[in-house]
Amino acid sequence: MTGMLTALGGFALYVLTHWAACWARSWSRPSRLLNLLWLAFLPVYVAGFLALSHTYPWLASDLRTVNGMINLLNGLLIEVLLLIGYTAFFFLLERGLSLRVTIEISRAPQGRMKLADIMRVYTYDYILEKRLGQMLTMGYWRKNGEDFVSTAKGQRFAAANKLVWKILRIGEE
Amino acid sequence: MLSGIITAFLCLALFILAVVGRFHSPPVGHRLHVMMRMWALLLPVYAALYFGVRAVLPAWLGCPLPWRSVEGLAAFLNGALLYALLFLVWCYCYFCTDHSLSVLYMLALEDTPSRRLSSDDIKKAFPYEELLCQRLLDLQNNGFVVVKDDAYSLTEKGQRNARIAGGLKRFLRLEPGG
Repeated sequence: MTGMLTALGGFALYVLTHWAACWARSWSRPSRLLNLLWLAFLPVYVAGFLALSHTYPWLASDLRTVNGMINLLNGLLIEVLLLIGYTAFFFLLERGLSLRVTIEISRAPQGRMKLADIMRVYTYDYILEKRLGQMLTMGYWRKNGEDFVSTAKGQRFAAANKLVWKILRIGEE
Repeated sequence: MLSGIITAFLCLALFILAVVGRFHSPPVGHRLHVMMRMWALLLPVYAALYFGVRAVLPAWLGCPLPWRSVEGLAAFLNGALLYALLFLVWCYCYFCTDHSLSVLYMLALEDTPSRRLSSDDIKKAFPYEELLCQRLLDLQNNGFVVVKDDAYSLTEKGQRNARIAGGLKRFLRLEPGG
């Protein structure tokens, strides 16, 4: 139980810290901030686990035993899964195309927009610049003159996605 | 504790097998709804498997029955929490693959004979109007948007969503985003 409680507490602290950092200034690469905080919170988790274990007798966990280690690793697993979930939520908020469209409609005069209006305020060039820029930064693609070509990492990633599309029959309905 | 962890992963494996099987029997319908239903249907399986796994594990790795002590209840709920979190991570991975424009562009590049694409090629292969219409149709089907006289407006659900997400985006300095 110590691991689970530490993970939930650590995650709450992580979200508050991340929100405070985002609120304090605008980050040009939000994913870097997410990753840095991720790494910073791993030792915080271990410290929190040890602190809880030593402070409350009913949460005591002996790390020299197998059960103690399972307790620690279980919490770590919960923490990692929570952080992945939070990353998903964050990028949905930051990158979501449908979300941006609904926000644009909500802010339009009379709350109505035609397709052409949406295309004017939320341009394809902006969408492409963000996506293609991200693929270059992450090393999936590289520039060759005016064209984009995929790197070995990009080819592996594309092959993996193609396999998932095939297994789950994505885009076939 | 270990019984809950093992059971959560076993249930995830069963869930993935069930989802793959279901997606291979069209028509599938709303994919997220299908996955949520499958996940919920496997909850009783989690409970049954938990006791099975607990019985198989050696006594020194086991924990009390859920109704015998708080520790036993916590171990049972810990596994259920893990199963829920694994489902969330699965959804994240699934929608990254299914909905991501970047993935779509990457697959298109790999399918071209020359294995290279320019921005203009991407624009031609995936016309913006078509792409946006598809997303607006999704929003319409999910009850966020309605169309009247060729203009899109938000439903109450859409307005609530835009208000909460818009406020959060502003607070986190993520605007305009998208």
